[in-house]
This record gives sequence, structure tokens and C-alpha cells, in this order.
Amino acid sequence: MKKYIIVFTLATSLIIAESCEDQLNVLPQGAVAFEGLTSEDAVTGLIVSAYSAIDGWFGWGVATPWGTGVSNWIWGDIASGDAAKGGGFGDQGEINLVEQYKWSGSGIPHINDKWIALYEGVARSNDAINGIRGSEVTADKKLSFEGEARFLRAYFHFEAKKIWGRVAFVDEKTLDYRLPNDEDIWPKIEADLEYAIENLPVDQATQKGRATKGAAQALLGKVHMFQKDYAAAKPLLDAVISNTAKYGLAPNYEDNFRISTENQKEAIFSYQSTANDGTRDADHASLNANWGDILAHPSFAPYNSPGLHQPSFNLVNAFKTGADGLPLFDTYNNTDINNDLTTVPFTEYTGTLDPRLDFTVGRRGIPFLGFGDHPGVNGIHDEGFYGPYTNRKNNFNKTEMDLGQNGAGWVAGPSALNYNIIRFADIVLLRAELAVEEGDFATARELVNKVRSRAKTGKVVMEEDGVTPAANYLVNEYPAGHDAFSTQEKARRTVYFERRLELAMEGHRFFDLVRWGVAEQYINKYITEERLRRPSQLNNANFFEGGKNEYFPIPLLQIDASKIQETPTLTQNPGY
Amino acid sequence: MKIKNLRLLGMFKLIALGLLLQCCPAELFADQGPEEITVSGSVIDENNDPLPGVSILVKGTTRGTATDANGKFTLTAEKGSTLAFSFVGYDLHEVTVNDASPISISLVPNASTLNEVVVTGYSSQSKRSITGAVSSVSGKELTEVPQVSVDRALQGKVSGVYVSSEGVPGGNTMVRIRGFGTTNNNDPLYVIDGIPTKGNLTSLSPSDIESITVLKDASAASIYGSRAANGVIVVTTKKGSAGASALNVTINRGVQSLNKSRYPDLMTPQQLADAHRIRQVNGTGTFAHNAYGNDPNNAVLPDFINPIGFQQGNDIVDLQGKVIANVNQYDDNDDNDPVGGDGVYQLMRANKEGTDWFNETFHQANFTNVNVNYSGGSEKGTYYIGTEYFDQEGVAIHTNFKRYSARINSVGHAKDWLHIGQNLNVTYTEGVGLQNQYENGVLAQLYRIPGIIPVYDVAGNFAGNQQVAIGDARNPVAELTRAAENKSRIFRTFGNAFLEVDLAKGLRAKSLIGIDYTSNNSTSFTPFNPGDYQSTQTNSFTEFNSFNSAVIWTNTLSYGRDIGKHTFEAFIGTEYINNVYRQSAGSRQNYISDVNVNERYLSTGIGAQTNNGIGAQNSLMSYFGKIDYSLSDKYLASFTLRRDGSSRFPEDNRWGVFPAASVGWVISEESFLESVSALNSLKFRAGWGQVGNQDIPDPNAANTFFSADVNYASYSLDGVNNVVTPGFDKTKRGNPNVTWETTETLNVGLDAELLNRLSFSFEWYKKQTKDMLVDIVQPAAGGAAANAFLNVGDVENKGIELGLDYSSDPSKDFRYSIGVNFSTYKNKVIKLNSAPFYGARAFDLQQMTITREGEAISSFYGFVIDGIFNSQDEVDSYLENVSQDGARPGTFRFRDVNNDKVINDLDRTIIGSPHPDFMYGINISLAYKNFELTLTGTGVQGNEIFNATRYFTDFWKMDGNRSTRLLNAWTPENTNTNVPQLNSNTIVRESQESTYYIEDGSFMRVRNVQLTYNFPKVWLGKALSSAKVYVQGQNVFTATNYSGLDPEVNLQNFTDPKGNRGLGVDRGAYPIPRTITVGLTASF
Repeated sequence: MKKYIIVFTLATSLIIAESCEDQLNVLPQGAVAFEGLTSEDAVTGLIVSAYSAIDGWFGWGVATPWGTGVSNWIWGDIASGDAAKGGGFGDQGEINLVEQYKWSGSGIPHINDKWIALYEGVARSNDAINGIRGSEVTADKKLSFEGEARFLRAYFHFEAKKIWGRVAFVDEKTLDYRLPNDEDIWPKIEADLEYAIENLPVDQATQKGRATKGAAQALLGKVHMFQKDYAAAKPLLDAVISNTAKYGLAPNYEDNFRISTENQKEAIFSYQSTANDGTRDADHASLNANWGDILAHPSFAPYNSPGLHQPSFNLVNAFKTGADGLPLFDTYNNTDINNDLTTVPFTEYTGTLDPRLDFTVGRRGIPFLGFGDHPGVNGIHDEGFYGPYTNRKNNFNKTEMDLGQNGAGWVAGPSALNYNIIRFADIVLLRAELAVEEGDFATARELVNKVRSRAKTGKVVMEEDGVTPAANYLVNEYPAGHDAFSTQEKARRTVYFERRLELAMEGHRFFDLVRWGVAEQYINKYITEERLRRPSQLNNANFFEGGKNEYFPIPLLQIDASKIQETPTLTQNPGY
Repeated sequence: MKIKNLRLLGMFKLIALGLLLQCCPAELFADQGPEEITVSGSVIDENNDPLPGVSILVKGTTRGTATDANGKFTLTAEKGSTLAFSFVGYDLHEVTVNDASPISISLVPNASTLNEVVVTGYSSQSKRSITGAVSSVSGKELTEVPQVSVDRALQGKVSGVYVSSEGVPGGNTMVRIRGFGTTNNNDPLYVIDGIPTKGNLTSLSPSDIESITVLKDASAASIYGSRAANGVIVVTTKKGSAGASALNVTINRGVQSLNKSRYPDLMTPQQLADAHRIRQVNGTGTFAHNAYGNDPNNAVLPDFINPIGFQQGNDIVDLQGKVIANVNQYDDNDDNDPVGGDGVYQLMRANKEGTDWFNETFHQANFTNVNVNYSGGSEKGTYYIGTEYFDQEGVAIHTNFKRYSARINSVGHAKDWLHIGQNLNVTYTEGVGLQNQYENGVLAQLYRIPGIIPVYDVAGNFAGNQQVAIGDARNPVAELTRAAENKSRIFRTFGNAFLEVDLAKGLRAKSLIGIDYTSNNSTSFTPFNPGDYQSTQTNSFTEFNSFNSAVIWTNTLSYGRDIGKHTFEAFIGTEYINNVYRQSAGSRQNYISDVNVNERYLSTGIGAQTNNGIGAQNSLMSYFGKIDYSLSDKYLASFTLRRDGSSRFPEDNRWGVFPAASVGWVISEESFLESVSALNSLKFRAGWGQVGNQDIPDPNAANTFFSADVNYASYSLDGVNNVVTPGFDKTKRGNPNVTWETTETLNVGLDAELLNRLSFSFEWYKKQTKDMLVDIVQPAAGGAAANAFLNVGDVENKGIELGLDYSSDPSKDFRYSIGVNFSTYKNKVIKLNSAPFYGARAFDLQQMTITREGEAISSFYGFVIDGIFNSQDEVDSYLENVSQDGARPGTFRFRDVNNDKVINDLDRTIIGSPHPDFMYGINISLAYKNFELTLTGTGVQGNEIFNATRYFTDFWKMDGNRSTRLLNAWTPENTNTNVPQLNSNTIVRESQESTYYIEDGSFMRVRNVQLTYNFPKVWLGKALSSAKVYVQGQNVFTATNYSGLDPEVNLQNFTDPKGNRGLGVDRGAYPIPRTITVGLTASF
């Protein structure tokens, strides 16, 4: 009997055991394996996720959004002298180091966040490419979808290239991400964009957020301009400019910065920001509202943001015009226009100004987006360090408040306002630059005037009565034979100056200065002059060091993560 | 044939087995044994007093009982069998029974513990025959000090076991056995009445604990296979005894407080204002500050910090003469932006004397603990009922922890050969905690918030950091008060039911089904926080629910037999564990009331709402067996084998085999030592074995997977302003080759007992972890998905442990005992196939610790500071050889560690270690007649602490208050200092990880001092069998050179295994309070 019981017990245990072994195949919960993503919806989801990466925001566990903005407000503006850090002095205090040219690969965590954000975009593009290739969608769609994914991959790499110079290209076959950054990745960026031009539709019909052939041409044109390869850039820029059915300047300068007029002819490729879209985390709503720019809105109501990214005195002064409505190239910064930090008691400036100023900058006494007059220094945390101005272009106006970030936690600045990654005026001015380099000053003048003419004929900021211009605006085209286009050197200066005014506070300036080879000379002059206005901030600044500060340092964390044994594969940029 | 759910079938079969056995006539077994007799008697101690609770076991069986309150017992035994009488602190006494006449036993006191039976997991062994590294502690010793959890009670009691806990009420405890085997999960496996669990033991009432056994080496622990690499702690709860019913009541009341002299010395408002001024003047030659004026020679404190410049009774005007506020515009409850908003201010009067934020935040806190337990039984069965109420306020205001727990353990002897039992624990805990060591948490604000900010504004509302010029640290009193109802409520059911069948003499089958079910509900309300910079624009409420259920099914078959000089004990078994975790959470915005706690439900809000949920599953299947063999009680050997399959690993790497073997030689049994009468026992042990660690997150680590994510991966393809298309993004990378860590241990030990008074033990061990699992940070070039776990390296821990205990003659009026334990571990990463990796981070201190080949896990990492440049000459002569950015008099001189003539990130090196040279514990007891004084002290020596709070208080990266250390900053006149010059022209590297942060972390702490008075038995009468009162102090004294609040900083995060990578980093830890307790224990 006992024998049977023993045998029975053993047999039972074994049967139990064997059955339990089946339970060891536990699949991930609440997730899908890559192999499951083959339908058109699923593949579209992968592409959507790559687009979504443009705003530099992936949740708190990945990278903080403080420095990842698509607009490059830190790297393009604060580093260039167009903007001060802004906000409270200690708030994101490391960004002071950007403004002070105390750049290091470890002292400014925002540099690492930006790196993570861009390469997350690359990774999502690569996942999309692999997904598309293995998917069930039609052959036609595969081409167009892959065109989009490769357009995005090129865009993210281009951004990284602009910021760090030496970066690695990660493609869809990469398995080991410890890639060296010694390769020239321009050809790979170009190959992606050429593929995109080949396969993207001219028009994405109602899907205005998706990349088009024109967007790819514009971006590739820009890529060539960054390499000073004018011959290659010319047909691409011309192709965009000549497609007048699809592209052109918006009637009013401000149309580029209003929610109601976004995605018009001037918007070649934009980040599609949304608000009140149902997305939420524990403390915040509207998570697709361009979170990378979340700090760069004013601190006063209704924005209640940290108020970083304040225009510099130098930038504001650059909008002065002479009696002829043209810029004051040499003298603009000799005196400041009236402002409520240094003009006591405050009176409004009566000299002539380019009307684009008050679409770009918030300043005392000028109506600010329907919320009454701008409060001046009363709306600024640390004006002694950062000056009396605020950024204006990226803010919703009173009629758009329902597309602001309602129900937010501690900020209300983000909204459904798109950021223009490439707008038509950018391409026009690049083409003007190209003309200057070719010695074709007439074309250069014509293109610059095209932009100035819009500034002249479009709406200007009005007082609350809606009929009185808020300031003494005067802007004119360059007449034929004007001295500004008399030599290549002068023509360059003219086009460069126009580019600064037209695209101010949109994150392009630093990369333009480096691309033009004038960064050291320009920025050091800027520091010397701006220091007199903001000694507390800039007396502590270093000067721009040529051969070093053209590129930001590779983040130390990334160098460390690239190590094979103790040897990093990423090489630090010179000078750091 | 493939039956779909074989598991169910298996369960059915076992039930059938049970039924079958029930049906078997008992005579089948009974007629095989000799005659049974009923034996009764009594047991007395050396003073001829009755001795209750003496356990009596019929040798060779599991049958037994214990003496009752009057020292009496009754049980049935086979004629001719031997009864073993054992009681802690007394010699084992054996009697052979041949008839039913009453027997009277007198036990002889003895300090020897050799005969103690130690529960070692699936089986138990007498201490005498153990060959592995095993330590045990009795429940009596553990409950001397009322503690929130039993693991804390292990502090200082066992050599080689380091215990350190969070100060927050109900907080976590870190237990490390023999160092750190991995940078991943280092928590030991807890096995409570046969049910394995990991982590927090706060839901287990310490008063229910009978004993704890620590299995330190692989030869002892390998029976737990893939989860035993960090050691195993076997917890046995109290059981009833046949014939001895007992009612015990314990009441403790205490107060807790902090040692105020340890609060950091922070600047007064005027000192801080002056520091700002000096700094700017040194940096720029000018001074401009929104709060402290513009005079480069004199910083002036404002009368009001919000709005700055306000003077009572006057309007405040801006530079242009516009009135922007007056006292009538005061408003207490709206956003406080004067501009563009409603044009009103919250008036905050500057506290020029300085608010002492530590004093405002910490207070004296009460503590109450009551437990009542009752046990008893008869030959047919025994029971134990334990209940407990535990209520602890935190020393930080509004933090607290309450526990209500009930336990029922029972065994019924349905037949001689059939035993059915259960152990069941039900606990409800509720509390308001505080995130410990969180760099942006409430405690960090204490270091950062300047004293000029008052706690309250002029109308009695909370003041805050609205004036950003003063810094953005938040009012900690406001935060804690607002969070006072943010409770976490945890309900845990933990227990098992088992069936034991004696199949034949010595052969026993056992089937046990266990459950560990935890549900957690927590609610959190975020009210408006007017007064704060960037205040919340809308209030909101979040409710979180989760459950975790583990089901364990264990089957064992054990056999024990003596054949002449040979003794065998063996068992085999199978075990299946299945874990399911699910959580869901919802949130809502816009609640009408900011203060009405009864309104805090998800449906009551009127604004935006969200919900989310996640889950996880895993299972483990195991086969195991063990044989213990002893020859003449002199030569001992033990073999273990376990095979585990885990769902966490891919199919090909799923199964691991964990063998172990150990031998023992009881030298004192040898004839050549027989004549040495002073030597009671001398045993030499040696063991080898392998154990595993599979503690990585639940999804099968092989898989790469994607998740739909509307929040962070969606986009508006249509360009519409308020609608998005959700996307899929990669959330985790997999590794198809992943498998568990394997730890191989070699252990040599020596145990000795002399003169019945002195025991001594020594262990030497070497522990090597292979294939350490790390989710190595991949370059961001691969994207931001969670990193795959890779098997990257080998780690070695080597050490020795010493234990020495001496007890004086227990029959004397004056008695004393002293116990000392001492241990070391030397940790070293001997191989790393990956890049070195980092741990702890806070703000831009991102690489405070490093794990790299040739060094200890999580060593401190950074720059070496060789002093401060005192003159331009010193700078110039240094710069002749080495280039250092920003070098000028008054700045740090960094060491060019790699001699490449430039100071850059490559000059970071190991600058300290959180691992101590040695650790020790001292236990002293002095007793005279009915008085007893006990003392427990513990200490660590030779470890360092990375005092990251200096980042807040000594550097200028975060605006806020500063340490008075900076009053000793370098000036051309004050050159004998380690504090650099105050200068706004910042040297970026100055505040980065460096030797400036490193402090000696050694400390010696008196954990417990207790004076007890035992009421004499003559006073107690018949109703009471014993009673005592005591007064006790915990953590009454700490000797340390550490400048922070508490040298016992241990981990930032106890639940995230990566916390181990930040060992010894202090970001502002919740300090461990000093507690004074008065207690009363009575037994009826």
C-alpha cells in the first residue's frame, strides 16, 4: 500500500510540475512585439511616433523637455546673442552657462537632453523604416511611407550635425549603437533626402502635417547651403520657390505665428502642435503642445510660464530703421530704443522701427496679443540679468485661448501654435545668399525685397483701438542700385541682416553665424556691447573661442555610454 | 494526450490523494507500531520554579507538546520512545518512557545553543549538525525593541548582515548579507512559513515572530536556487503548544525626536544677502539683486519679500511711478501675479531673523504599539492568535504610519499520520509617507529654502517662494501640510494551508499552498499653492489602485532514518510560483474645494480626467532535493540540488541548475579531545555551492516590444489643433541571450563552545557572482527605450565574520552576557564586459558613482581637489604644466589625474567608497536579581558618504540658502580654507562631483538601551505567569564625524534595484529619530 502511495505521490508531483512548466511562457503585458505591427494603421503608428519626436518630449523618464525644443531656442538664439537666458536667475541656471560661453559636456544637462531627443527621433524613424518594409501596405504606399521616415531621419541627423558637428549616422540596420563620430555624415543625410524627394508626394492632401516632396527639397537645399555647395543647392531652392501654386509668402508676417493661419503657403514643414487633445500625465495636459519650448513663454498671465528666452538689447535695436526704412547696419546698437529698464521715467520710443519687431518681441507699452499692453519689467523676473523684453512669436493670442494649454499644471504657455521648421521666407533668403555668392546681386536684392515688401504691406501691430499703429513703423525695399548691394561684401551683410530680422527668435541665428564663418567675430563684439547693458549676467561671460565654440560639446554621458571596455567610441569636439 | 489545463488536473489529483488517504483505515498504520502510552509530568528550573513553554518532542517523530503556565505537560508516545525536553538557555534533557507514571524534570541552565533547532527552509536541523553558514536569532531577542519591521531588529545581531533603514515612518529597510553581489537587486529572499517573498516586511508584525534564520552561504541557501544569491532569511512565526495556553500582552508608548544639534548650519538672511553681494562684486564689480538692492557695499534685506519693496501702509510703485500694489489689494487665494492677472499680491513679510525650517518641519512625535497574543492547544491540535496595533507619527510633520494586523496559525492532527494546518496573516497599513532622498522632494527644500521666507504670510496663509529672486525652493511646511491626507492604504493577506502525511516511519509528504496578496490604494490631492513661484493653475486629484498576487504551491517528500552510526535526512520537492500584478490609476482636475477632504473622489472633480493602467506577470517552476548525512555525529555532509525555470528568461536560457555541498567535522567528538572537558564543542565546516539571482523586471527579458502611447508618441498628421493620432514606440529593448546571475560561494567556518559559557564562531568566505545582470545604459543613439538587461560582469565579495558570546552563570543574582560580532566584506568587480556604468544622480551631478573593473561596486567618482590657488603666482606656476579652465586665485586646484596636462572629464577617478572596512555589533546585558540592563550598539568603519546636499548649500547652481561653511570662503586674507572664493564668475567644474563632497561615513550608534524590571513571581499571584516593565531608548547616541543630518544614509530608492548604484549618497535623507519608549509586558 505504502509503495503505491509513494509512487502515486511522485507521479502526481511530476505531472503537476510538467504542467506548470507551460506557465513559464509569459509574454510582455500591455505591449506588442515588433512583428505584430504590420497593418497600415500599425505602420502609420510607427511613423506618427517619429513625427511626435520632433517636439523633443517623451515623458519624464527619458529626457526633461527643458532644452529639447524643436525651435532650438537655447542653441540657436541664446547661444547667438539674439536672446538672453531669461526667467528667474536660478531657474534652469545651467542655461546661463550657454549664454556665458562656459560650455562643457557635463555641466549643462540640457545638452545631453537635446542629444537624447534627436536620437530618439532617429530611432523612431528607423523603427518606422523597418516596420514599413515588413508591412502589408501596398508597394506605392511603402515608398511614400519610407520617404517620410527617411525625411524625418535626415531631419533629426541634420539637427544633430548643426549642433555638434561630429555626430554618427544611425541607420535602420544598426545594432551596436556605440558608433564613432568620425565619419562625414552629410552624404547619408543627402541620400535620405534624395530618396524622400523621389518618393514623397507633392501634396499630402488633407494630411497637412506630413512631409512632402517640397519639404524634402527645401531641407536638402538647406543641407547643401550648410556645406556651401551652392551648385547643388540652387536647383532645389529654385524648385521650391518656383512652385508658386503650393508655396509662397503669407500675406501678413504674423500669419506665421497665429494658430488660425498656420499650415498656409509659407509653411513648408512645421511641427504640428495640438492642445486640449485629451493627452495628460499626472500633472499636465496637452502633451503634444510643443513641450520642448515649454519654458520659453512669458511669466505673466495668462502664460504663467518660467519666462525664459528673452530677446537681447542688441536684437531689439537691430529693428531700428533709418528715414529710408532700411536697417542701420553700423549704428543700430549705439543707443537703445526706449525701454522701461533704463528709460526713466519711461516714455515710448518714437523713432522708426521695422514692424516685424513687435511681432517678434514683447516690450513695454505695446499691446501684447490682445491681453493689453505688455507689462515691461513688471512681467519679468530678473530684468537686471536679462533685460526688459519677452519673446512673442511662440505665444497664443486672446482669440486663441481655447487652444492654449488649458488645465495645465504649473505652466500655461504651450498651445496649438505650430513651430515652422522651414518656412518659405527662410528658403527665399537662402536663395538670396546663394545669389550673392554667385555674384548675382540683382537677384539677391529682388529676393530680399520680396521679404521686406511683405513686412511693409502686411498688417502691423495696432494699439487697442485697432487703427493706430502701436509704434512708428517704417520699412522699405532696397531701391535699385542701392549701396547695400554694391559689393559682394555689402550684399552679404545685407542678406545676413535681413535673415536675422526676418527669422529672429526662431532658433536659426547661431547656426547661421557659424555657417557664415563669422561667429567668433560677431559674438565677441556682441558680448562687449551687451555687457554694458547687462553686467550682472555678462561680466561673468567668457568670450567665444574660435575653433571650439562653433560646436557644442558632445555630452559626457554619451561619451561614457559609448565606451567599449574603457575606450569611448565617441570623440569629444576640439577644445572641450 | 494533451490536456489543456494540466495544472488543474494536478490539483485535482492531489485532492484525490488526500481523500484516498483519509479513506485508508488508520489501523493499517497503527498495527505496525508498538503500544502507545500517555505520559504526563512537570518541568522546573534551577530555582525549583515551574518552567512554562518547555518544548517536548518524541524523538524520531514530529509529535510534541510544551509545558503550560504551571510547567505541566501531557502527551502520548510509543512505549520505549525517548522524550527530548528543550528550552532556550537550558541543557537538553532526554528521558526514555516505559510506563505512564508521571515524570518530573529539572532543567539545568546552559548558555550553549548547540541543541537549538534551526529552521533552514524546507526542513529544520539542530544547530549541532549544520554545515553551512547559518545564523539564527530568536523572536525574544528580536522583539526586545519595538520596531516597525522584523528585519530592522536584525541590526547588530548577526555578523555579516548589514541592516539599515529609512527614517520615514513605515519606511523601507535595506538588508545586505555578505556585501553586494550585483548592481541590481541585492535584497535577500525572505521565506516566511515556507512562502517566499521579496522586499518590504512592514506588513508583518514582529511580535508574531518565533525565530529568524539567516542562510548566508550558497551551501545553505542553494535550496532556494535562482533567488538565493543575496542570501535567504527564513522567518518562522509563533505556533501554539499542546497543553500550554498562554496570553501575552505588550504595550509600548514612546516619543521620537531628532537631535537638533545635527541640523545643518545654514546662513541667516543677512549672511545670505551678503554672500550674494560679495559673490557678484567679486565676479562683476557690480551688485544688482531684486531683493537685496544694488549697493555693492551693503546688501539690504527688504521688509517684505512679496512684493519686494513693499512697506506697510504705503503703496508700492514701480520705477515709472505706477502704483502696482497696496495693502488693500491683498488677496490670499488666487494666482498672485500682479501683472496681467487680477493685480493683487500675497503680502509676505521678510523674516529677517530667519526661519529655522528644520525646526518648523521636524517635531516630537508619538509612538504606540500594542500587541496581544494567545496560544494553546491539545494533542489534537494547536493554535496561535496574534493581534497588533502599531501607530507611529513621523518626526516630519504630517507623516505617519499605522498597522493593524491579525495572525492565526494552527495545526490539527486529524489522524496520527495526517496533519492539516494553516498560517494566515492579515494586515492593513495606512500612512502618509515622504519620498526619501529625492533631490526635488520636501526634505531637499529644507536645505534650499532661505530663512528670509516666513512660514506664513501676513494673513496666516502659507508663504512661499513667489519672489524668484530669493530662489525657487518650496515651503516644506506648506507642502507637508497640504499632503497630510495623501494616504497610502495597503491590505496584505499572507499565508498558507498545508497537508502533511506520514507515509511510513520517517517518511513524510507535505503539500503546501500559499498566497501573498497585496492591494494598495493611494490617493493624492494637489491643491492650489498660491505663494509659490510657478504655482499650480488648477487643483487635481489622483487615485491609484493595484494588486499583487503570488500563489505558491510546494510539494515535498522527506525521509529521515538512523541506521546505527549513520543518520540520514533527505527530501525532494517541487515548487511552482505565479505572480500577477496589475495597477490602474485615474486623475481629475478642478475640485470646488481645496480643503474638503470628503470631496476627494474621482467623480467629484469637474475638469479634465485621465486613466491609465499597467501590469506584469511572472512564474517560476522548480525541482529540488537535499541529503544530510552524519556519521557518529562526528562527520557531517550535506548535498543540495535545485533546478529552476523562470519566465523572465528566454526559453533556451530558462533553466538553471544550482548544486551545493558542504561537510562538517565535529572535532570535539574525536577521542583525542574527549579529555578536554572545558571544550563543549568544536566544529569545522566547509561548503561550496551555486545560487542565482533572477531579479529583473517582469517581462521576459528577451523581448523587444512596442507600446501605443497617446501622450508621448502621438501626432496630428492632419494638422488639426486638438486631435492626435496615437503612435507606437519602442518601450523596451530585449536581449535574446539573457540569463541569470550565478553566484558561487566558498565558505569555511569554525564553531566552538567552551565552559558552557563562551561560544565563538569564525567564517571566511569568497563569493563570486558571474554574469551580473545590468541594464547597461545604451548610447542615446539607439533611442530612449528601456535598456536591455545584459550579463556583463563578474563580482567578488570576500570577507570574514567573527562572533563571540559570553554569558555568566545564569543561576546567580548578578548575571551578565556580552556578545560581539564583527564582519568585513571586500567587494570588487573582477570583470566587466561593458563600459563602466554610473549610479546615483541629482540635478547635474549625474555620475556620482561608478561601477568599473577592478573597483568596488558603486564607488564614488569625480575630480580630486588638491587645494585652492592662493595667489596668481600659484596659478601661473600650475598653468605652466597643466591647463585648467578658469583657474584664478580662490578657485579649486584640480588634480591632473591622467597626466595629460589638461584638466578635463578624463581626470575623474575613484574618490571614495560607500563600502566599509568593517562592521560590528555589540550586545551587552547586565542583570541583578529582577533588574536587567541591555544595550545594543552597531557601527560601520571606513566607509565614505557622498554628501550631495553640499550641491544645494555650498555651490551656486541652485538658488537658495547656503551653508555657514561659506562664511569661511577663500579671500586673499583667508587662505587656510577648503571653500573656494565667492565669485559669480563661475568655474563650471567647481560644483561637479569631486572630493569636496566626500566625507567619512563611519559611525557608532547605540541602537538600544533598555532597563527592565521583572516582577517577582511571588507578586504575580495565580493570574499572571510573568510581567515586566521597561524603559528604553533607541538611537540615543551616535558617534560620527559626518556633517550631515544622519550618517545612516544608505539608499535613495529601496524598491528600484538600481538604488544600489547610489549607495551612500546623501541628498537629504529622512533622519532616523531617537525614540524613548516605556513598555509593559504581561503573560497570563
